[in-house]
Amino acid sequence: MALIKLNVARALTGATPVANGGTALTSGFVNGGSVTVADMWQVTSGFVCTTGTNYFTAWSHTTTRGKGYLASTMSESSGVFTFPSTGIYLVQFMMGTEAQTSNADNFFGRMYVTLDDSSYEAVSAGLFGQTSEGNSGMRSKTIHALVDVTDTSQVKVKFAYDSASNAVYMHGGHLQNETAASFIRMGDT
Amino acid sequence: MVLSFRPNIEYALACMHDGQWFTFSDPDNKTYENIIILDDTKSKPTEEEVNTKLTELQTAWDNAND
Repeated sequence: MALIKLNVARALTGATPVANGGTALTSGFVNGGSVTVADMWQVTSGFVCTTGTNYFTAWSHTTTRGKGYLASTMSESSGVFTFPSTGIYLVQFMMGTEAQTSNADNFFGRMYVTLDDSSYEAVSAGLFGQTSEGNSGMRSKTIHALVDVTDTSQVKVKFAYDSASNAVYMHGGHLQNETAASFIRMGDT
Repeated sequence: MVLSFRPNIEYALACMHDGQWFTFSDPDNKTYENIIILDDTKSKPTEEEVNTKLTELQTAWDNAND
């Protein structure tokens, strides 16, 4: 069988359909992949949760072994995270909690977003039944949201917990990510 | 005491006040000297107070986990 070799780069313009072995994309490829921002932060130390809704205010870049990040990183001040560039971001927040006594009760972890650098609304929530079960009432929960960052000075994120009692210990620290947030830029806004 | 780990200095501090009121200047070296107070309404406890609290918590944990 004769084999004809085509110079695809010269022969094609526009998008090549998936059915023909293409990607259907006309742009979007970036050397090294399309994810251009990836960053992770962790709560600096473990603490006993205060009753009611409280924002996480003490963060640091993760220091876990082999950690990495891409491009410009998030900035954080008093628990408010600012994005380094516009785009669609996948924001993930994981929490590790432990009931100290059997009196611990329901517990929520929430992600808040502002579009005007002022008023925040919860966009994602994780619900724990935090009652101790005779041993350690340990829980781990991850919540997610896709955030459209159209203006880095206006669109920001912060995280909170809402505890029915002060009998819940929030794990923090640095050797492992137990209560931590990650920010991954998925593409343009 | 139903905690899953033997209390350490971080947990002893956490049991003194609720909320994120402290952290450590060196996360790899969580010692009394490296304690940083984040909440202006709280003061740094003395080393003796921290050690007393830690001993109390560890004793309770040991008794519950023997």
